[in-house]
Amino acid sequence: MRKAFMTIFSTAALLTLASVAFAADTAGAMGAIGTISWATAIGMGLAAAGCGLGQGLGLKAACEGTARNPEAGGKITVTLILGLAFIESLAIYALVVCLILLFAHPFAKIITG
Amino acid sequence: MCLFLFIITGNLIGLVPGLDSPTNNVNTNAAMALTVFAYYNFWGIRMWGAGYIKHFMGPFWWLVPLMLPIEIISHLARPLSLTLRLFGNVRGEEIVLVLLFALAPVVGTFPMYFLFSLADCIQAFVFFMLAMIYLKGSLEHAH
Repeated sequence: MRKAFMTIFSTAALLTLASVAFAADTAGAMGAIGTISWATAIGMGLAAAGCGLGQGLGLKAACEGTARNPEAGGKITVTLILGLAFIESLAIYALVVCLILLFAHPFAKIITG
Repeated sequence: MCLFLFIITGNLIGLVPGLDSPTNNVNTNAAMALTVFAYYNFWGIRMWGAGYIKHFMGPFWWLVPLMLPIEIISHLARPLSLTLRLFGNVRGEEIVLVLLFALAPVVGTFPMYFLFSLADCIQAFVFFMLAMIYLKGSLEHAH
């Protein structure tokens, strides 16, 4: 199991690095779009995964609390919504960084002078 | 309260096709966040005077060199987080709506409208709640 996992992981890592090496050959700002696309996609994927886990835990606790004490359901729901928005905002920070990378491309001025 | 009404109408206006939210732009959100920051600090200083600095000092006197920078950075991060939270939500919704409209005009966007109107209302509520919580934190006793 571990050997299969390491094989697959090494293959994926080599493929990823190979494409990055090809992209680095094209000079200047236009070559960076490949790396930026990878960074954006993986970054947002990780942010969404972390956000999903966090909100799932919060939701689990809220459901258990309401199940134990249905009268406190209203307050628990309000606290839950507030907490979900906070956790959501962490993924939104990652989204803002990705939008900056995609649209307000910071490398162009530096490389082309 | 005014904040809440402004943000919720501002957010929901963006969902009408052809209109844009004012909260779309980072400047609107930054202005509101800085206003909230100035407001709660003003009331804290007005209530406590020079004793307001005690809010930044932590529970024990020997923790001050550690707590003071941490608290100052945390307080400075508050308007930043308020701005980015609201801006990211509303701008992200606008981008997704535009993209989905290009791909699948009505069927793609119609279910997203419910999710986005819910997220708009929740974000307005969160901004308002956070402003109240910061105000309360600056007015209460410092540890």
